[in-house]
Amino acid sequence: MPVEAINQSANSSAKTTEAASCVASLCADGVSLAFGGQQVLKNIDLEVRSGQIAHLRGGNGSGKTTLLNILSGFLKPDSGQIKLVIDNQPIDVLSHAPATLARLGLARLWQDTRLFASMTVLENVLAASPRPLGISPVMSLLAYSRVQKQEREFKHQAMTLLDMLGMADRAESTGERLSGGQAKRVAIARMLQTGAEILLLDEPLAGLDKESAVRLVEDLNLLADDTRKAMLIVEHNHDAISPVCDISYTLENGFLRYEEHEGQ
Amino acid sequence: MQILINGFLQGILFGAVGVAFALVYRTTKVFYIALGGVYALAPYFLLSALEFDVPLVVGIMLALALSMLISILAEETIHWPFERKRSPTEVHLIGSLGFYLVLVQVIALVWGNEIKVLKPGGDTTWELFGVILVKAQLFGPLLALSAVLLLFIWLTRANRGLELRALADNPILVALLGRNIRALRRWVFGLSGALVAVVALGQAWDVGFDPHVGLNTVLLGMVAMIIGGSTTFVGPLIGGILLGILRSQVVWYGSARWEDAATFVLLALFLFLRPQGIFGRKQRLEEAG
Amino acid sequence: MNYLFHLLVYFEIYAIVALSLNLLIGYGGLLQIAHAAYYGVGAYAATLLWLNAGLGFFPGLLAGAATAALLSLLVSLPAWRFKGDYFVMISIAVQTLLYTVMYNWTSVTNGAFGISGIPRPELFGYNFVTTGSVSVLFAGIALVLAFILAILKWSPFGRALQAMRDDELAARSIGIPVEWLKLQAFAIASAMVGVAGGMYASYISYIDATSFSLDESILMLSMVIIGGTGNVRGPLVGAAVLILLPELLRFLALPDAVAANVRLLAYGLLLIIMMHVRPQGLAGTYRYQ
Repeated sequence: MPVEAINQSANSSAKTTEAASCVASLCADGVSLAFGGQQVLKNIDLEVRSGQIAHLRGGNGSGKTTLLNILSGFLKPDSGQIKLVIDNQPIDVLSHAPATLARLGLARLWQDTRLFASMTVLENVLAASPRPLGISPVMSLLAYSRVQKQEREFKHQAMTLLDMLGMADRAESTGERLSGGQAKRVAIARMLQTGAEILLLDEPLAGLDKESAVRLVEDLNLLADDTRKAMLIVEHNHDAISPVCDISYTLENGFLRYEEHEGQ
Repeated sequence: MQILINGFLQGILFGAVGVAFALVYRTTKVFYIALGGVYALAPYFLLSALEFDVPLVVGIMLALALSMLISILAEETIHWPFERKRSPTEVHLIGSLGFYLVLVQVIALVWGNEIKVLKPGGDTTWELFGVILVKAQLFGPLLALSAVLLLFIWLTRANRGLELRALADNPILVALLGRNIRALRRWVFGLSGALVAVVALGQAWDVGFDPHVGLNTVLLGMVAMIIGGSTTFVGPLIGGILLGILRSQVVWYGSARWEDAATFVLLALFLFLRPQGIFGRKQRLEEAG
Repeated sequence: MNYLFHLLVYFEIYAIVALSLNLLIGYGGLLQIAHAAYYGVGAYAATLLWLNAGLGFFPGLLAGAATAALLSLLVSLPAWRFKGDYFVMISIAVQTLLYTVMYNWTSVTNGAFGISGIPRPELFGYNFVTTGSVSVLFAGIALVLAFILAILKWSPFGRALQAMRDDELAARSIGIPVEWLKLQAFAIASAMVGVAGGMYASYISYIDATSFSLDESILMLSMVIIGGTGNVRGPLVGAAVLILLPELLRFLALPDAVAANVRLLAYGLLLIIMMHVRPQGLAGTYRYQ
């Protein structure tokens, strides 16, 4: 497909200096899906790589969230392939459960945050810790001190993330008492706690005031540059997000259009 | 042949209970376990009425009306308040379980725990093409079947029936159209109660009754609904008939002890292989499901 | 004094029942109705091994727990796919299935006649013959199990269960293996209630299937819901209410048969009232939302 070719050239021109360090990517090839007799996605090709921020645009109901659901393994397409590469290891997305994919390094942010309502902010983030020993009841009982030690490390990491997103002082409050923007930032911290290399974000800026939106975009950009995360962002607030995007895709009538960004 | 017919007749009863259960479940999403209490209660109303020398027909009418009222009481005291609070299904279910316990224990306190019968002495039997049928055995299913048919006619013809079907598919739309959801829900609970009461009276006349017969019957009704599919109202009836035939076969070839086990194995098979039931439309898999 | 010890023994057994059920309902959001069946599986397995294989008290209890944990696959595998109402159906089906087996597999369980002559606990040559000594031993077992559950609640395992209960989809999206989690939660809860079943058998020295029926499961569910879910205190309060309610009724000097009914009636009413005013139970923290 030409898209891939363009993509690769985009990557080599924009990120030549670090091209060798590109170890993670998510690549969809010919993905199609029909819903109730209507062709929602038609032969979609898409790729995001380490250090890249890709913007996914499209009108309401154009199938953006559906595409994210497919990419994260929650929904099976009618046809097509999706390949995830983590640490240069290829993984077939369609043959793995979402939870497995998340542990491998593909995390997502939900449009409506989906925080765990009965848990505190800190517990929400801690729940996403990667491969905790103590998730096994046997380990919790028999290797109590090792589990506790690991817990302290996770807690430190969670507090660092909450601090970065300006939510450290709300660590002990429960999810119900947060404003929309605060909930969003907790959800982002939770997603980052997984340590995933590839992030799919569904409207991260929705519900945020202008100031926090700007700050969040800066943070995301920093994440992409410093930690080499790959991001695919669905966002209506084009003005805020497009300055930091390397590439953008537009979903229209089921087709995906690729566009390279200038200035990055 | 005899077994097949017996199973078929039994099945109509399960099916009718399944329809009653589905009527509530489909339209209000309430998992109406207390229906078992209403089922258990109905024959006692008739029993008491007959003790006061009320004519049989009047007694039956009275029993049906009271069953309807009890069922509406469940809606008024439990499900409607919970619905207004937007309680999750678990709360409805636990409330319904509580109401079931209350009904059954009240029966036991008022009328006692022992098995009672309605009919005096023996019964006429008919022989039809080599199949022996007892009058009461035929009477109950026929009554139940006609009640179900009446309900179907009412559902498709009358205006209210159409509204009910809309309530099942889109309650908010019904409210927006200015229809009274509350009255509709009362009808749903009332008719559901009346329908199981018809079945209960028929069964009571045939084999007798005690306070604890209800839960098992309603469980069978639920199984009938799941086998037949809960998205249509005909499904549970067919599901019930299949269930009745299966159970009679198990009794014949195996033992009556394993009826229930066979029933729930069948349920498990359906849930895994065809969760939407025989006649169910396959629903769009919502990701939040 | 002996009477107080007797109540204490019952409280200790039911405390384990309630705490283990709370792991499923309160932490996992899984409305398990088959708990009494697993209580029975533990009781039968331990009893048969004590009487026929000459196993010691603790090895027998552990074997009962292991059997219950193994059979918990019957509910935990379906729980991968079904939630809410449909899971409740499955769980009732499993309850019925296990009960049918316990009641009808006469060559092993002696069916309706039950098994008598079950020995009292024995440890290092010491026989726990008096009720007082049994209450001390059982207190030890209950404390150990409660301690294990407390550790689990504050472990990543407990947190993951809670996350799954709040939002299963979100839990999966951050890598929580919900299927594996459910499997383990059911296995742990069933093993613990299996231990409680073995304790019950050894204390009463007689078991039959009727102690492990659907009614008993509903009672266990009520106990947890009334006491409260989501913490350790709630289920303990529930167990205490279950033990003390019949004793309170005793002061009313009701005849035995009536007292049993009044007790269940009180449960039904409490369930309904709880759902209205305190969905989180008397002393619980978690409410369905």
